[in-house]
Amino acid sequence: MTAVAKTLRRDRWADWAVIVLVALALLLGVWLRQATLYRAEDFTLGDAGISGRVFTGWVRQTGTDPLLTVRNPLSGSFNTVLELRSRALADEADATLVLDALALERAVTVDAYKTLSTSRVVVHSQTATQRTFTYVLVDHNPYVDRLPEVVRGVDVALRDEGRVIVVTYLAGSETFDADYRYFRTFVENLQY
Amino acid sequence: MDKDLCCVCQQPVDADAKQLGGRTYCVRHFAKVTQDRPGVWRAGLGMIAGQLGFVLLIEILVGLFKPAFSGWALVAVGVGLALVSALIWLVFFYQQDRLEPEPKGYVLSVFILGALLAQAIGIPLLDNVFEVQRWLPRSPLGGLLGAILVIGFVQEFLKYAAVRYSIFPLPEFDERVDGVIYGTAAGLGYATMLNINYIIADGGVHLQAGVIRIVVTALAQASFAGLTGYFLGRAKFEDEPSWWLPSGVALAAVLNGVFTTLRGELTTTALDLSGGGFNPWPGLLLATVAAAATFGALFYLIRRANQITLSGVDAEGGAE
Repeated sequence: MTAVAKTLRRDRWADWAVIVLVALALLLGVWLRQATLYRAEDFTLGDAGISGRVFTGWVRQTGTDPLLTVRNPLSGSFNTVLELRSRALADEADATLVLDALALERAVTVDAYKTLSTSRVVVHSQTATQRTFTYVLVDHNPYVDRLPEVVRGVDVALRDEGRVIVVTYLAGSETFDADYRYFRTFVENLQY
Repeated sequence: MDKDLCCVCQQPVDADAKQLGGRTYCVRHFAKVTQDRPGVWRAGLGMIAGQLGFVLLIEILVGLFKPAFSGWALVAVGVGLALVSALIWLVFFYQQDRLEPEPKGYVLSVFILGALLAQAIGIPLLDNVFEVQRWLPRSPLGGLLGAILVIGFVQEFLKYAAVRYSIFPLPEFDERVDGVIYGTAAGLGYATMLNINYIIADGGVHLQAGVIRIVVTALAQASFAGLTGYFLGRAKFEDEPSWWLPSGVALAAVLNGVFTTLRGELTTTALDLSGGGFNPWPGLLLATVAAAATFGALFYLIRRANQITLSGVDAEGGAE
């Protein structure tokens, strides 16, 4: 092999080496992104007998209703929220009743509340009731300059013995699709 | 037969042809490869001083006249500031490089290519695919690693590609220092597009803080691309191993990531009742130091490489 051919061959290797290095760096970047965005830690609500995983870095608040609220402080002007509720319900009653009650509660506290659809979904191999809705978040504080914001939400009613566990997902209309994965992961990891 | 052609101009060479890094050069191109071009370095120094002068000028003008632009006028002024920032280097460069100038068309083409790659690939990839704003601020270590692996590698690879796959194989790329020149042009093109995007996305720019941000971006992107260009220049004209170019891109990516993280940390201040939240001046200081250190180091390294090559020629009548 002549010196020139050897040099050209080395140049080609160098070209490919740069591309491989950048591809490796980006793959590591993808892994780091997933690990950072979806890193989760365990939580247990002892009295309610519910446990699961919440995302690290989200602000967590426990109470009576909702039992748990977790909020992503880095998700735009409207922080994406996951809520957990437990409502007593006879086994023979339809879980839609609980979702209707929630809809009535929200309708008087938020603006332009509207139910979009109700459907059946399968969660943990059981049929659950899911309702999607939307409303407009208006900050009525006269000292705050904030534009009204369209919020989209999903309630999933999961049947348990003598009660319904409702998981609610709320997100700004622009981040709803991107953050939906948080909701799915949260529901899939829920134990009750 | 291969050895009888100059690797730059592809013209047949005499028996006393010069050898450097396994490549054969005619006398003219060997002399070009090893020349220092002090004008290039003065242009680099001039760019840093010019950018700082530009910031001071805008600060003084805004302080004196307190212009009240709004809407599209504010956007147009911001875009104008971004373009002026890039033009400062080009003006200095052609002022200092009058004796043996690089073809203006090529420098401008690489500048535009850097800008196009930023707009077509870099910005959408970082903002929409990797969504860096969603996860980099979550943890200091994760943020630093993410800034290196994602922001650093994407930006530095695109600037590298703007030079490597355009001017690099052409005969006009015929000096070690050409890597720094074209790398800087690609970096400034990239920076200009970043700045224009920032201005348009924000619907204009607060002139005093905005001009600092524009200059910081220009200095940083130009410096890191200049560094990658240095590795390209040596890869073309010396016998460097296959890992040489990947090392250059990796080093530039690491510096880019560290700079991005440090700038974020230094310019973010605590919120209080008097305002705050953002102070751009430490970012300007950091970018100035980074640019001066990078161009200073490149000047020293290229000059030393040229001296070593020429001393070998003097001692042996040839170089290898």
